[in-house]
Amino acid sequence: MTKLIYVAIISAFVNNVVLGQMFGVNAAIKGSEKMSNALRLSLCVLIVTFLSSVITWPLSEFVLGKFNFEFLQTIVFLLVEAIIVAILTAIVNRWFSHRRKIYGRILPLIVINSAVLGVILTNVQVGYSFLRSAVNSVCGGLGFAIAVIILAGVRERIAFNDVPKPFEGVPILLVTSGLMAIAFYGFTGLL
Amino acid sequence: MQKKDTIFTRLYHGILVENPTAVLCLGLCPTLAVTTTAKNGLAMGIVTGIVLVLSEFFISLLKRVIPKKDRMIIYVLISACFTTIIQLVLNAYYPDISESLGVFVSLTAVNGVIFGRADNYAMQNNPGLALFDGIGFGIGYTLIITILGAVREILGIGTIFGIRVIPDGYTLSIAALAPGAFFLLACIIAVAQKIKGGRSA
Repeated sequence: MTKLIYVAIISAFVNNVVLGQMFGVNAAIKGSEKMSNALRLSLCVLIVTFLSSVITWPLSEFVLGKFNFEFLQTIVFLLVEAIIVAILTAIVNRWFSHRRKIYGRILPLIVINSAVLGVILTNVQVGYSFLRSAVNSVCGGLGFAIAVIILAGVRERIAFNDVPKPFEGVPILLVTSGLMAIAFYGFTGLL
Repeated sequence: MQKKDTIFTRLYHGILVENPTAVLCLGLCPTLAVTTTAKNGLAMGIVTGIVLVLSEFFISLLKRVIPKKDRMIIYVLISACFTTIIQLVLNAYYPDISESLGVFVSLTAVNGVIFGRADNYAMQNNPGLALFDGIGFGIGYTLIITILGAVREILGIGTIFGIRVIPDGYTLSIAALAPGAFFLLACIIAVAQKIKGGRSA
């Protein structure tokens, strides 16, 4: 149990997906434009990461590993992700049709979000157990959410400040993320 | 009317005018993560470049068959196929590079540069030009990622391509860590924006 809590703290804070392992930096920068969008994006990433890690772990353990097809991991995992995203899109269209437009723009981009693929590939390549990889992926998704939401909040403040002209746009956000990454190093003390 | 596209304009645009990292800001995650040394940056750039060239060529060949609505998934699967091939080649001939790049070789399949170029160029143009577009953007990407790797290696470890230039004890260890990557890439993009702003003004 304590081991699982350690894994959770490491993947959500100490080795944050965006700020420590640097998966999905582009998605975080693009998605943090508005707070409402940031929340929706984080929710989608969290759900897709969890579901795809729950499906891909047995798939790679019992199918790919058994027949020595480990080299197909990337293709198979991306297919699984694409299928999950397709199912989620169908669910949104069926039951949440008033939100269809908003999620219709976010969901297709989840397939090419490197945070999701990065987390599920790490789970398998490091050799975590099933429970551990499930916890790791949920907390990885949470870590992404934390980073994106903080970035969206900081971005609202930056909008009212004078940024040096060359640093406008992406560079100032990268500097912000760098400062956040330094702050997140402080969480090492939790362990 | 737009100027006619030639092989040279493609290369010129890819390397300078529309540099994928410094101007378009695509594919930042491998750029930030693997550039702890110049050698890693160069290797990652070459891997991405090869996958980019092959995927753009094939997407351009298949542009009439790919459905507009689900094009993302087709792009992902095409680039994942080439990434797998490159990964197998790396594992067989350069196991040390494959080890030091780790999971980021697989993540080439979801690199933003590939989707940006596939959507904006390969889907509208013929395969020959798409091939050179891929080469231009691959070189542009490799250039920036190698520069970032070299700067981080010099500042953080004090060596370049393994040759020591700064004596031990005078290095800036933050440059080798994650925050340093963010700061230095921000500086590179800012320089590019300054140059671009100066030219258009």
